[in-house]
Amino acid sequence: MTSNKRIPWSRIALWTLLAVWLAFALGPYVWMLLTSLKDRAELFTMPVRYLPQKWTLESYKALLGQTDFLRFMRNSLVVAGSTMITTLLLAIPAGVTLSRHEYRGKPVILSLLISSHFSRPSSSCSGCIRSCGKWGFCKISWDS
Amino acid sequence: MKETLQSRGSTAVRTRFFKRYGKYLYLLPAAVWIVGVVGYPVTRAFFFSFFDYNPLRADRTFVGLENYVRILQDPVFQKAMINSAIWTFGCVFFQVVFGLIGAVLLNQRFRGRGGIRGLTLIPWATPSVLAAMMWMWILDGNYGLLNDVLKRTGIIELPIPWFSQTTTALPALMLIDVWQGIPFFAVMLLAALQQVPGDLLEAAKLDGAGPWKIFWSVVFPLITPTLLITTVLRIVWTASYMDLMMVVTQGGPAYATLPIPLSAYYTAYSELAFGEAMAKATVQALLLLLFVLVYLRLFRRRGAVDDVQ
Repeated sequence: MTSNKRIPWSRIALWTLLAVWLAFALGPYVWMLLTSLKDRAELFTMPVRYLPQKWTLESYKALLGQTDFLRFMRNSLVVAGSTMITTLLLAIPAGVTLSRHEYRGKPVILSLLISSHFSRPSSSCSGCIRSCGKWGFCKISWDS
Repeated sequence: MKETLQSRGSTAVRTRFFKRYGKYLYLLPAAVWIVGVVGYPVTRAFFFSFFDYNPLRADRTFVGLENYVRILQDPVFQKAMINSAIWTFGCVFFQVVFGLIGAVLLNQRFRGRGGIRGLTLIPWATPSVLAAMMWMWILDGNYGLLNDVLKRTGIIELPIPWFSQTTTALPALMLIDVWQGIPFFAVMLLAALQQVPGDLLEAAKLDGAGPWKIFWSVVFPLITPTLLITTVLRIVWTASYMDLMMVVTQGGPAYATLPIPLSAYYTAYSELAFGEAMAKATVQALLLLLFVLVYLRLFRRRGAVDDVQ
């Protein structure tokens, strides 16, 4: 029984599991991509067709031509960028001092900092939104 | 920097002050921010949970525990609590199991490992609304891919309207959350697996332990702290997660997918019963506080372990 004749079961199992996992993880994205390239009428044909009969970029054209998609993208960029910058500005000094200095109540401070992680934006948002409106934060828009 | 400050005699007092309290000063921005966007709303919500509070009326009357009594007697809220429990523990259970398997897979040696590790992360990087849209289309009752595949393979005869049956709506939503959450556990546990010292594994092998035995007796105890911390963290996140239900089912059909947070949201913004809504939120917060305390304990203990190593 030489090693090159033996069937590598563990390799086969590994790759099978990886393939199943990747199919599950990426399948929805593939399906979304295929759907986006289908003709609108073809979306509602029965039975379901897996590949587009006629590949078309109509949906993308509609997205750019008929909606404010570019503006939505700019909004996303503004939100993501400013969130990142603000977070870094707040977190870097806190991180520096927490790692360099020793002081009383450090475990408590650390615990409280980490606990804020448990609050989801959606839940703090419902508490904040009225105050934000009152203070004028919510009127910010990027209409230019 | 320090010397230039000290050389100026007039600022000596300020320097001493800064030396003493400067370390707190660095914390200040983050602390103010967190108090503002987390501390203030939480305290306010807790406070108003004892009031009859409708934002459209000027008066707020103190009603004591009345809000709590009413919501706990409300069958819809009881249903929401059960839903939340099924949702949270169901989702996290499957994520832990598959995430652990995934981490072990990704820790093997194979070609293209870096690329595959990156690809498996994609669901985690998907915004929840996008994930909801993708899966709504796949699970669509008429034109969905899943029904089509099940019909072609002969598993079902008639298409299943996944999101509009009380029996399948919550499991269908859980599928979406599990899809998104597996990579989180896989990555965290992979990091823990990589910390397991190789000589330990070699020693176990030399002592004649098989791979199964090595995993459960050597590797698993070493990754348990990470496993516990990520699980508790994920439990808290999943319990307060309501974006999916809001986008896909709005809590229906017949409250089958209504969890506590969404129930609180509706009470606040549809019925404008803010006091009651905040009581619901407080009940949720108290339940989760148990998990948060466990998390903090584990976190601190792991910190101690790290120092020893």
